[in-house]
Amino acid sequence: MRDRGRFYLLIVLSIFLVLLIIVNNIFQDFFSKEIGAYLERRFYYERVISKKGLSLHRAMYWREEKRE
Amino acid sequence: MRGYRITFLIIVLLSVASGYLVKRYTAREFDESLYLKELAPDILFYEKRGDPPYYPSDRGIIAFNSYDVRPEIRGYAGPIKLLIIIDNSGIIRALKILEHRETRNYVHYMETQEYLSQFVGKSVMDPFEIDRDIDGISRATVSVQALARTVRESSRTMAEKVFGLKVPTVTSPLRTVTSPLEEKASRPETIIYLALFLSALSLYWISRREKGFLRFRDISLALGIGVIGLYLSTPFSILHIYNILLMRLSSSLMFYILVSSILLSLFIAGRFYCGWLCPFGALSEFISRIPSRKWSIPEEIDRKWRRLKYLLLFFVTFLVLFTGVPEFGVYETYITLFSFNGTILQWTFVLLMILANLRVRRFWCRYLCPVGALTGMVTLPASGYRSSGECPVDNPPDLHISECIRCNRCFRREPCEG
Repeated sequence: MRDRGRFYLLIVLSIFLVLLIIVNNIFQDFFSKEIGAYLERRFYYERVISKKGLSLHRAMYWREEKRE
Repeated sequence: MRGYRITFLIIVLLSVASGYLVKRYTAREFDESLYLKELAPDILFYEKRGDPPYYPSDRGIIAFNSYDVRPEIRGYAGPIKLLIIIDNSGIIRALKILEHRETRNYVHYMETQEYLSQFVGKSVMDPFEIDRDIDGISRATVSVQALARTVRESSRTMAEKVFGLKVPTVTSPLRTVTSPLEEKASRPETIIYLALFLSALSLYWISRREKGFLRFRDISLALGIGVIGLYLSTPFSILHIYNILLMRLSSSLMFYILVSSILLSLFIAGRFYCGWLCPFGALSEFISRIPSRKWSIPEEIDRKWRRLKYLLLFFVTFLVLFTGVPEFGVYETYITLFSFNGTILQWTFVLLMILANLRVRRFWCRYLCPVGALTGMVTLPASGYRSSGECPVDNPPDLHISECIRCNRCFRREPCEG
């Protein structure tokens, strides 16, 4: 491979890595360690709390639960 | 170059305006109460009330968002918002960082539960001073100072207002805004940076007249790696500019001195920072000097691909200013290298950019660096620079001045200059 080809390869690899890094920056929070805890809260809201006509405000659910 | 400047300005204006409008009409309010259950599963909190607002409970415990209490306390890039739970004796029961805009590479440890757990069980009467009762984090000093100050000031305010506790004097918001800068003014870091910057700038000017002084450029570059890169860990980054454009003001005097010194130098010495002080540029140049066969790249290809850094800058600027999240644009090698933290992808990229210098001189600076692109756009025309084959960035003789890093090797005083 000639120098020109090697140079193109290096440039393309660099662009690819930069784009991968940016994509990773954007989506890393979706894959963070806390996603399990967040999804659990979110699913619980969708499955139980929202059906009671309550808002996403979890504290309201706990208060209702205590009164019952 | 004028076209690039206009394009960049249009992108900045469009992305800020469209980002603002989209957020205004589509953004949902962040529901911090979602985290209350996580922090204190056995406590029942009621709805937010009071001024400053807080979540009361029936057990003499309250929770509050520190930003509701002390919004003026800022880290390196804006406020650090915390959800804090304290009891009626002034003990911190739990806390969690809700939001911050510090550069994650530097503050990754600050975000961990391991680090935050040192605040739990502390009294609001405690001093919350770094390296006294709170652990510091090297390379994140400003951020952890802001974190400790936020916890201390907001907890004391709430303990006093809600529980009527007598706390050490709570500083006024106005005082808190100014005090961090005053503290930093005497810090040796700021003085060392200024001494280095002014020395390098002086040597730059002298070496335009006396070529013998060019040998000091290597010393300046080495000090750039040692001081700006390794000791201060604050290489000038495009994130500095994004934080200013997004109005995320810093509490660090170093932040303002770094940005203003480099921006001002652009008007009198062009990309002097790139050629005399940039730690990654210095590292790249030293590696480029290792005897090895350099690739022969045709001039037209070299010229064409130098535009890549401008296109990347435009793309990342739009992404960051539209979303309002500077973190999205972190791909700069010097952030990863000098924060000693990064993902596998970032480290792979750094390694590639370092090794690339063995075949192409200052590869990162020529084709990818966003700071190089930004400073190149701002650089004013200057006479006397005509590359003559010993250029550290392999500039052809008639290349635009925006690509010149002012090493002064090729500088020749023109007759009209006397």
